Amino acid sequence: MSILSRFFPGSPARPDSGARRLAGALVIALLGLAAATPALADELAVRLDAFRVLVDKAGDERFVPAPEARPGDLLEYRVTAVNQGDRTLRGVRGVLPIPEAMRFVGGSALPAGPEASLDGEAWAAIPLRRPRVLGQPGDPDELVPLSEYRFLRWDFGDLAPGARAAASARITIPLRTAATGR
Amino acid sequence: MNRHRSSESQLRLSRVACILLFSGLAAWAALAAPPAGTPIGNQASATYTDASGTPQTATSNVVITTVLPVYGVDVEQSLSQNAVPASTSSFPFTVENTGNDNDSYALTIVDNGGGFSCTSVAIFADANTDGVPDNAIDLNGSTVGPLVAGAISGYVASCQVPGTALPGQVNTVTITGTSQNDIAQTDNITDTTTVTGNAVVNVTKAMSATSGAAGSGPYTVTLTYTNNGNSTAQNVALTDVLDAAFVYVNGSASWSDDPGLLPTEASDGFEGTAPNRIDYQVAPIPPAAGPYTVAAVIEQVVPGQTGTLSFQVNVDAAATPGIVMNQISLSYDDDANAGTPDATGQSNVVNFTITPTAGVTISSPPPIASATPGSTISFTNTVTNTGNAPDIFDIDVDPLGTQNYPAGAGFFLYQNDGVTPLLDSGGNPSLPDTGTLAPGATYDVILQVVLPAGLPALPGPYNVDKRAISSIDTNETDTATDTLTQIVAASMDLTNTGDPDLVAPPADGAGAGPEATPVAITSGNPGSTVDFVLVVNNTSGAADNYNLSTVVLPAGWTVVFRNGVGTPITNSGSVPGGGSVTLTAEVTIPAGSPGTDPAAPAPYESVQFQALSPISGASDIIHDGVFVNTQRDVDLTPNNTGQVFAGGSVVYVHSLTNNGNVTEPSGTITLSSAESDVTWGTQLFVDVNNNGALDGADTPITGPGDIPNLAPGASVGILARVNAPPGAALGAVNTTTLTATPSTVINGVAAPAAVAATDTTTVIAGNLTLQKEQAIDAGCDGTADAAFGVANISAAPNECVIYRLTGTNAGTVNIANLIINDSTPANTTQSSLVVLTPAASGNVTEPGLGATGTVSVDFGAVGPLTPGASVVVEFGVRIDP
Repeated sequence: MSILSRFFPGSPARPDSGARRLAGALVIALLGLAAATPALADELAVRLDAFRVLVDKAGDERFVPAPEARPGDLLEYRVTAVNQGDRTLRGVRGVLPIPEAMRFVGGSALPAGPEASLDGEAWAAIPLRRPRVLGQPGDPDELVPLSEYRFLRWDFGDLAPGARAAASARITIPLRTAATGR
Repeated sequence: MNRHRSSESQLRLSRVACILLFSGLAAWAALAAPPAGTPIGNQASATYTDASGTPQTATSNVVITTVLPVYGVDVEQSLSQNAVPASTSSFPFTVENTGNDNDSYALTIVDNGGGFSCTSVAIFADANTDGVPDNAIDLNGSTVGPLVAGAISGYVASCQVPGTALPGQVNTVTITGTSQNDIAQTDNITDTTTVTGNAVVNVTKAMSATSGAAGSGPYTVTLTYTNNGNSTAQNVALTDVLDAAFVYVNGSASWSDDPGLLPTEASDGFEGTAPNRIDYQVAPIPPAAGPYTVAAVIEQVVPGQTGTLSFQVNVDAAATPGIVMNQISLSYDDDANAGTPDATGQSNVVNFTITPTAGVTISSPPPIASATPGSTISFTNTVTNTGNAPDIFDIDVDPLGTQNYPAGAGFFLYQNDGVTPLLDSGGNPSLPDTGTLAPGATYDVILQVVLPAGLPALPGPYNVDKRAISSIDTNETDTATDTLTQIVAASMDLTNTGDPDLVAPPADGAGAGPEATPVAITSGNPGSTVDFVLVVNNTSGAADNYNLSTVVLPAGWTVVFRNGVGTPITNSGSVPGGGSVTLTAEVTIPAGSPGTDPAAPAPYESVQFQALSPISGASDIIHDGVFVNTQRDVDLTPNNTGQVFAGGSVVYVHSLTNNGNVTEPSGTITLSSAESDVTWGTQLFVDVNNNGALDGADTPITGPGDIPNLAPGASVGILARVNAPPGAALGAVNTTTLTATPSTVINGVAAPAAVAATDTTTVIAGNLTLQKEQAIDAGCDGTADAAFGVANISAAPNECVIYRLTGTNAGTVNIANLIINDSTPANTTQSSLVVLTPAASGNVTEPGLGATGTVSVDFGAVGPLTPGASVVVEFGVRIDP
């Protein structure tokens, strides 16, 4: 199973074979920038890396790249954003999705205090809360389980030319979760 | 009742809810570890606002982490049974693959002994988990599988009780399952056989089908009981606590011992005819809500007797998909003694899979009315899981290849944040998906279409289909259509003020430019800047941005565009459809730029500004004008001082300069002089050859017409010869004031004020006698032919005359500044150079051989003429032929 759909690259810099399925040529719009287009944005380079977190004999943490991981392993995603242009970019925000098959490890986000979202549309500070499903009116909100967090977002502020911002969070692949029983 | 599995069973049931029994059910099993080999992909993104104020998104590389296998096994469950000697004790059990990859398991059964040892032990397959071995193949010591992750397979273990066993003796066997991919993964159970001499009743449960969807049925549940013991079992109580997913069917009970009897669900005691009587009841009784418990007490079962009790159930329409387990509990009086505890037992566990019913809807958003070429439009489609199990929905854009957007359109799918690309997390690996949606949950999938530049060849509407496909059942799909009604050319209007849609007050420069005449004219001085307010109006429906440039500008001028806070910009930044942004164009007028003539037909310098969208091509030009102010400035410099002898003259050099930016025409500047002492006089000349000396080329100034046109920056030399009267007193000072008076109106600007310079002359002492003599030098050899004399002489053309000037200091004080001047007479040219006596007593300025002009000897530059001393100047001239 591949992850990135070959049909619809998320960024027009990566058209690939599946694109030919569309009648007519799938030409990526290279016409410059309009509000929030999926067009070229080379001034800000964003990089994502995945690492396994290991503890060596001395008790120190070591990081190895994680093209593979076993359920139960502790992994760390790192997002880096670099301003490669020659003008200051304002209000930079980095978004790290938490894949469906992974669980966010609470308290592992650096810098601390990203916002989280369940659906990518509504964001709030961690910990997320929501009204109880079967509660009485007036009950305090319940905490949303960490396993349901699907996005983390950091505010990097303004990035001067050449400046870099980075964030990371740890996740695990669950071994087996305790489901709601029958 | 002996329910060894009480708490274990609850835990087990919950785990088993995650079984993958259908291909493509990965979504349904979202609570298990992801299958080995699953690529978990992730892609980060960042949003920001660029320097021109346009929101932008950048996405990272995709990182894929492939899930490695983990292995595990769960063997269930430990049971206890009674058996009579020489019978076989059967224990149903299951093996579950709790890892995330296919695995096989080695099965062993070990007789632990105890009160007796089994004559033989064996393991048999029981695929349908009805508690009855499928065949006689002994699987002890062999490997079963492969089982897919989450699969459960059923077996029956048996211990053959020897005929010599005695009632009360207990034996245990241990059944172990070990993963073949990770031998550290192993689990076991222990089954206990207690020998009895009394009745031994075993019961098994089977269902007519082991899977069905919510709302399906009826399914027949069959309980089979057998007395393998040595005495009659009495009051054999069978209890089936049905899972809440099952709904009992009234009137469906049937008992093999009395086929004509319809056991009633009511609690009404024994029914039937002795000795075949059954006390059958169901609590509660439908239509009362469940869950339901079926309880039957069979009055007696004699040794060797077997019978079945069956009834029917439907799967509740609201049942949650998953695996439902069920097991019968059993108790009976095995020794015909009500005073002793009843024997107990349990049946095999029957697994019934409630299959999920998939369903999906995807909404079509309202059509987008119009968009401009090169713009990006966005459609939000809401995917709803209308099935009854968690599902992953693949999104297939244009599945039939029928989309008719203009060639070159780009299609991009995003998650519901509109920023993160939609990735694949399951289901069809070549399609992105919504991720797992719980039943009833919704997810917004966003399709962005980037339109190509240029108007399309075909009119709209433009449609692209988006199909959502269930991963559980790929036949469950729904399709939405994203429609753009038309593509219209983008347009914009560049104005100096105002909204082009308003009539009053009208916007300046509304409509397409460039206008024939400037919309706004601003005046400024050379060497300064002037500002124009520009309003960039986006008259399209979609956001756009525009590059700013100047397409018409006088040579040497510069323009800088600035935004609202004064920052220099080259692009307007994003302007929403129907919106506008106000900027400033700052125009620099170079120093020295000529003034604009207000009487000219086009009294302005044209500047044209352009806004042009790099995306849509929409553009406009506005024509504005700059009126360069006329600046007039005439200067007469410098002020001089000098000395003169009484009766003598002195020449002062001046410059008349035009420092304005328009030409002062000839005839408009009047040069005049005035003396502080009216007995003095001054003659003014134009220094035509600009050599700073008064010579034959210089013309006297008789009127303003003698002054030539003075272009901006140009200057003309003015010579003033100030004449002292013969009777001027020694030390008298005269101030000659020269005045240059400009006149006339140029470009509507009045003449500047008159300017003046002063020449201050002091009379100095001098008792100089000056005698001039002449002599013929017919051969022009530089030597006089005869003696010098003061008498007139006649000379023929081409003959020469030598002049001798003698200056004598007849006074008693030095004459410090003696200059003796003469000139070549008319019709003569200099024929021999000046000879001084004493030699080198003065600096000589002479026209030169063959030339005409002033002969001037500055004796004072060398030294004073002392009292009584004389100097002689001799030079020759030739009569013109």
